[in-house]
Amino acid sequence: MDKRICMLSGAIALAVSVSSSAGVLPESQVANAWFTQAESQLTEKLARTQTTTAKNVIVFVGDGMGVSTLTASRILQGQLEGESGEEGYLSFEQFPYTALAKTYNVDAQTPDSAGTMTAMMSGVKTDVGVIGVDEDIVRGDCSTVEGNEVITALELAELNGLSTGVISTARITHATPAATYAKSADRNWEDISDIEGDDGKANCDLNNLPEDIASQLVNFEANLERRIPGADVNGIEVIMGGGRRHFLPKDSDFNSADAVSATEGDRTDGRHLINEWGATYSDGVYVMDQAGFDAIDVDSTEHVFGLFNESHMQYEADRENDIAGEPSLSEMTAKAIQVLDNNDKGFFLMVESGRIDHGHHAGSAYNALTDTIEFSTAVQAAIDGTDPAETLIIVTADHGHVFTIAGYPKRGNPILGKVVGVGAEEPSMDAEGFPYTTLGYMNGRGFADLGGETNADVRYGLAVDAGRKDLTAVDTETSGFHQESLVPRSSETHSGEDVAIHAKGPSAHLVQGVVEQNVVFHLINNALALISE
Amino acid sequence: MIKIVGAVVLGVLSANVYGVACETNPNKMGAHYMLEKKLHKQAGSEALTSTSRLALWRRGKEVAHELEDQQVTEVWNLLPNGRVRPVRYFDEYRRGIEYQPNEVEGSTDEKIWAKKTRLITKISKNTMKLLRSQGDGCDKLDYYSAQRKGVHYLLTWSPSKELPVRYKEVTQHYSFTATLTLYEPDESKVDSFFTDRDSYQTTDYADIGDNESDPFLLKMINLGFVSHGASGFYNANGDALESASPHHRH
Repeated sequence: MDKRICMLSGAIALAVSVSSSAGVLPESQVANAWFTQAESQLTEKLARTQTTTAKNVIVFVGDGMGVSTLTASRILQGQLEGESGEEGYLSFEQFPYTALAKTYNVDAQTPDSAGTMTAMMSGVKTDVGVIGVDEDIVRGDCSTVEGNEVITALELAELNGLSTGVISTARITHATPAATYAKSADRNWEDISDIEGDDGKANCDLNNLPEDIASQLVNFEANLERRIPGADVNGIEVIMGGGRRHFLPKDSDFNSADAVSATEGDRTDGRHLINEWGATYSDGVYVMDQAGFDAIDVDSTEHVFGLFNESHMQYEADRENDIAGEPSLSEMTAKAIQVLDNNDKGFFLMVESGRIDHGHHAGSAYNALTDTIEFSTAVQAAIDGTDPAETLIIVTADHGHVFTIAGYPKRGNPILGKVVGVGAEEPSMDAEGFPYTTLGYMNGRGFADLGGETNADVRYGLAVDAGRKDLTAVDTETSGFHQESLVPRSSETHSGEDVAIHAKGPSAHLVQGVVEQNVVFHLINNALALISE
Repeated sequence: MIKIVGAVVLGVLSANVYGVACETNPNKMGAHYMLEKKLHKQAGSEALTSTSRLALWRRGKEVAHELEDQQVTEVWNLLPNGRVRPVRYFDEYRRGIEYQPNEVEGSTDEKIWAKKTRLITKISKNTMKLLRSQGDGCDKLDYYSAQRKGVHYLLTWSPSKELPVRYKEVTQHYSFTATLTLYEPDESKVDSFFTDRDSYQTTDYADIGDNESDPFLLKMINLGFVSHGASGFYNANGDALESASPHHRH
């Protein structure tokens, strides 16, 4: 149908609808703010136009950012701004198109990041724990990698002459970012010592172990050109995240200024991958702290390699405690776009907020939600830094967590607080007479009251303490409060429910319905026409 | 007990005889302790004695407590910003768990470094009364005592080694004694100790949630972290001292 006719008919339908309701609905209803705001939203939807071809694609992945995390984060965001919270939106929740993605792995009902991100980057669902390979892989079996590798959207973007970037607040060799560029029978083979020390590996030639993930990142260009005959690519332009340990020799002489280990590097093969990267990209810029990051000339720099922490980068709430200083996810996103958009052919960028997942694993809603809010800010930075007519932005998660919003708290009740019912001023009580929080976990280490602590991982130093506690005298809104859990476990787990996909820009209208997670790859491909060339 | 006292005497004597104690670097050394806790006979319970061994290792900005009976070693790194980063090594399995700074209860306390390196903090020592000093120079020993809230504290301190040679606290119900049994000044052995631990396969604690397919890792997590010195005594009054040991004698 002609697009204009479609829009016109929609407008007529709305006009008829409003006209007919005007006589039936009372003025108090029609003039009600809820009514008019919802009506405006529909009007906006009817006015939408769609295009298909994008110049750029940015995929944002909130690791472990399930739907309950979105809801709780948007409420917290609003409450931090003095609002009730429920009525607000995270930046990407205002995108015009949304779908639900089924996250299961080929061999698992509840997935992990390795299998899910491989699906999103390649269009192929695979097993738990493996990177960039299909389901014919046997985890940990070196002999099953060859022939089962998949090509990723990032690799296709490179082959099509686009600039590419990978950003994560986790180690850049961690499962989610690794699935954009690496092929590995085990997600934990981040450097050579991880393979050597893995007692579970099988069929490996000990004199010729498979290439570890960190090495694959540095050798990305050469590896891709070797796998694809005739290919001539120029490598990933922007790499920023944590995980310096996997790129340095196991020798304290090579420690960075902000090393937290006596020997920062883990590599037992003596290789200094940062130097190797520098030799390959002589015009590239390596940075390891905020000052270096701030000094990047985005107009002239062609390759950026940023490793801001020995392991994972800090939680956003704990970032100021970093020794050398490190940029926020939104700062990295904005800077990456400024470097990548120097290419007239366009770019592909993957941005992961890796520590939402870690906050949940530690049973800290505070850390998970504050990292989600920063993730939302990073998406806004991408919106602000790109042309909406030529950039597809996809925001999704790899999986959820067993994180719940429960009870019957009244509107505006502090989302980190205890449940206070509608019309009440005092906390609601459970069957045993104890107050309880709105947020909680189905499993995990359980309750802890760590006061003003802003690092969720402190919880691991304390014993598992699951089940109900008397919270009467506990301030559950502090950053150091860890929610109760029902099932005692060493750490809280992923969930198997669907996750949301939000999209705006060319091809975004294809994001609708309930889809398999690997559809994300095809959305990227459709927008950039990666396979057609 | 006779053996322990003998070892202490030997340790002190060796320093006297060879006069080498001052040539050692107190920032790079090892010290082995025998810890003994006695629960006195009470109405309804028998006397109980338990012993365990602790080795303290120092190397610059690294300090380790080797809990020999548990085959666990805890290493702390002092960072440029004054924070302390702990790593727990499971010696039997040659595996380790790496914590980020502040991830173990107490590590935010700046005094934790002093506690770990000296076993008795300077502040705690200074609250005790110096009874007398014996010997000179490298062999000098200071004898301290204190009596607070029903607890009698005794400390023999080596200023040159910056170590307690003997520490004891006695109450009506129990006594705790830590005795230096062997002083290790050989820096190559200190290096060997730390280098060996550094070769273990380690896991960042933040990654545990994504790695529970590793049964050994799961086991280690459930053990929890040994905080507040299960046998690393570092207090004369205030912080808890424990002397847990599987070796019970009645």
